[in-house]
Amino acid sequence: MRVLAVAWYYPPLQGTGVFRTLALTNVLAEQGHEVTVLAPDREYFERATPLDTALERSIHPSIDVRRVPFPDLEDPIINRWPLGRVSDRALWRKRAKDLAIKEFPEPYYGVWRDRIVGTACRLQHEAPYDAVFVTGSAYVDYVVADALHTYYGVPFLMDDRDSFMFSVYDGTRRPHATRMRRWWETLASAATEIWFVNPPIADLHRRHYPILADKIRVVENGWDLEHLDQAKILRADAQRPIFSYLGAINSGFHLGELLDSWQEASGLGLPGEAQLRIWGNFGTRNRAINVSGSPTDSLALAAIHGKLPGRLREALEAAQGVRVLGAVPKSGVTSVYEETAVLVFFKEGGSLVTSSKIYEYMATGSPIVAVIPKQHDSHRVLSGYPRAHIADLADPDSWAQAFLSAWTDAQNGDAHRQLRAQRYAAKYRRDLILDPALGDFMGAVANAMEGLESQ
Amino acid sequence: MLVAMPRDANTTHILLVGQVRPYVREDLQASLPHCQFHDHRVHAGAVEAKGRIDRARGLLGMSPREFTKEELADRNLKRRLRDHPEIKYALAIGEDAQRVLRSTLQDRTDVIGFGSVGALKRCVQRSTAIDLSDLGDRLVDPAYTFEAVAAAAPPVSSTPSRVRLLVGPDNQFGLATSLAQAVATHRPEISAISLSIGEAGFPADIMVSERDWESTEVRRKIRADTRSATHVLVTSDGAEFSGKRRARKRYLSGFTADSVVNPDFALDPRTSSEHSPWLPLVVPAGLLARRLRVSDTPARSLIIQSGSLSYGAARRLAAVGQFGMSELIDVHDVDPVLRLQVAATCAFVLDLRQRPSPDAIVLAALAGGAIVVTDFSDWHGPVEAPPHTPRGSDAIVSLTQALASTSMLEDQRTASKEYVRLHHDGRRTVGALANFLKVKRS
Repeated sequence: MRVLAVAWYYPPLQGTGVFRTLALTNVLAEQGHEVTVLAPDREYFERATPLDTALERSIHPSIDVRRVPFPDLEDPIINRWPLGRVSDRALWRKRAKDLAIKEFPEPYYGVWRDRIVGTACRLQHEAPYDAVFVTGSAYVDYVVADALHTYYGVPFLMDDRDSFMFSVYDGTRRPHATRMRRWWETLASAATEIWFVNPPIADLHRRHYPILADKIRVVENGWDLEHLDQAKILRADAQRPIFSYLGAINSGFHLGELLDSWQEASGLGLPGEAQLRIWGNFGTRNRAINVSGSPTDSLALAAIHGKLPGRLREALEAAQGVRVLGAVPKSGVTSVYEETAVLVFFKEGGSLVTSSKIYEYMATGSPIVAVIPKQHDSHRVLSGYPRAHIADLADPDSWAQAFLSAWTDAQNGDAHRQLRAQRYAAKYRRDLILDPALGDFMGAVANAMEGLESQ
Repeated sequence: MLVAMPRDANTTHILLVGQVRPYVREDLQASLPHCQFHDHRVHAGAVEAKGRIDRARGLLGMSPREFTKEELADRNLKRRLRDHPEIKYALAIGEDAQRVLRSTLQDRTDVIGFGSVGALKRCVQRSTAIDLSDLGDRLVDPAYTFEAVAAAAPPVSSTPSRVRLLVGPDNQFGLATSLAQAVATHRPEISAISLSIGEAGFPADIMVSERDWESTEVRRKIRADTRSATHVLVTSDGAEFSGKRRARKRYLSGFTADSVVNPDFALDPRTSSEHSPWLPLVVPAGLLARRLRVSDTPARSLIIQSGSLSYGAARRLAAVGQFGMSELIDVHDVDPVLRLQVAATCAFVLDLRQRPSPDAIVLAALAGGAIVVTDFSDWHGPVEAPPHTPRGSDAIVSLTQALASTSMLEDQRTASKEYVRLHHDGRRTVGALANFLKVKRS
């Protein structure tokens, strides 16, 4: 069957939102479907975002990727700035934001709407699609599903992931709630299936929309076999006291608390040569640092200078054994895990947040020190993991002990123990999660088509 | 002050304009080790230059010439870039510097100005080619949709069919798109493509905003794309084709000079005549087919076709119909692009307009099986009026009566769907176009 997928988060963009989309489209292609993906233009990504160019090679060769230029309201090239932008920057920014919201109730991304709808209609006209797959964020992707369903009757799957309508931090409605609700309800009423990444978010929507309960399905994030060499990590048997944090470092990240806990644990018994390595982008999109080639501490620190409050910057530079190493491409994560004795999972959020990184962490089979809020949804997946050392984010006295306990685990661990932990994570392999879910959706589409033909 | 440096062909030279903080410089030098950075202070340099000019004019016995600081800064900047052609990038820090740099570089394509440190780093590290062509600002202005449209192959010329129909340019509620889709469904041998101008939001094969239309380059590309149309079906926003339609028709005829343009059609059966036959509106395929659709939400809403309903009347309506207040939807409060979809999920339509017409919203609601309370007392035309409950003198009383009979409601819902399928699923519309589509291109 012919499937059109829309994904703002798609390679070569480097970011957490990319991997699920990449895997979904690849699984569809592997199932034998003819897949077209609408994604932003490469030039935009080059100007504005961190890149992971190696990820492009992971796109299934049969997938037809159509690059639709993203109208960047924050275009940094001064030569083409309109006069209004330099005359009164604040007013221009307000107007630009208002325009984006008018297009679609999603700041920044909404302006992509007309372009993707126009392209999708054009492609539909050339050779009709049997199904549409849209995934948020960015939620503006959904407009294509609406257009092709309303005007051409094409069924669609809405992968709502972390929820368009509700903040996963506190369960309240996001800004622009009334317009968003209208869009979401219109789409949800017509969607064949609606997916969310964890049971708490799915339940929240079932409570608000009991009539949609049957359409709602949990399709968890997972870890990607093609990006992680478990056997290599197993063989490495890291014994040096290297602790690693991998992941995005956004404004809500508790960097100060992480540094405090590290300092305390260092004083309480971690070896003198112990290192805490922090890998990741500071912020996303155009606020990201970009370290090319072999990263060095000074380069990465220079790049984040000015992006952190002074107190944190000083704490980071003064902390013993802490190294900030910038983002690591997906193809390089196995090497990072090989050298790592203990993985650090230091996360904010509440009962609606799982954090996709935890699946990859568990797939390494290494000890994990997890400092998370009591109600955090990652407890659900970590509870069965044999090498989890969990502390409550609200209880600072427990943090250092978790680090020490994880280090003891690392010292006492062996390949057998690591393998057992890896086996626990096998059920979270992303392709094994996606294959049946997508199979069910495409099966439903096929049945419906047969039904129509027999009428 | 210009930093002295060797003229090395392999070095990238970057001009820093404005007040550069030490950590920014440190970051730039660490991230771009192969670059040479030149300083250009905007106002200090400008004032110094003005001082020199004033002194020179004084020596010549001339009064000081009036310059704004920005004019001087612009002149200094131009001179610096002229004297140092190796500088290919400039970074403006601060609003003053951005303003000056924008003015200096407005017509330059040999020097790229950046307004963000991060973007400069990324583009230089990645050797990103910056597009400064005439359409380069499409990246800034969301009105430009042309390039996205051009991402797909031209559909009109890709078809082997002899009749190639272009429908547009007005596309309110996807009118042109639905017409093109109906032709494609019921006359598959004909290639039909929809075009919309100035109605951003409603889907079409070619979506052109008014701003796009102002661009010669965009019009030229669209002309190339649509030239092979043999027939043009000109659509209009309103229930009746208007003066605007005639203007659009002239536009379209301009670049489809050899095409057959349709005769007059009426979208409201009450206004049709021998010279202006009825062209039934087409309800979009997705609203009719509802493939795989399992449920509606909200299940029991009422959409109001008027902006004049008072709060008191709304409360009365809510009480009568046992609606929640949030289920009383004024159609004007809904994004235009979503109105059909929302109408199709409503259980009731209350049309309070002066002379209601069976427009796209009413038909979408009927397609979903809605009960329509309206006034078609002056109905005449080639077909019977759509199923409805007469509004009478008091709409709320009428609605109350309609709600009272459950069995009648069910019958009316079935009749509503049937009516739309009979007249507005596209078959009858394509039939009305048959004679027009038979005409051969001269």
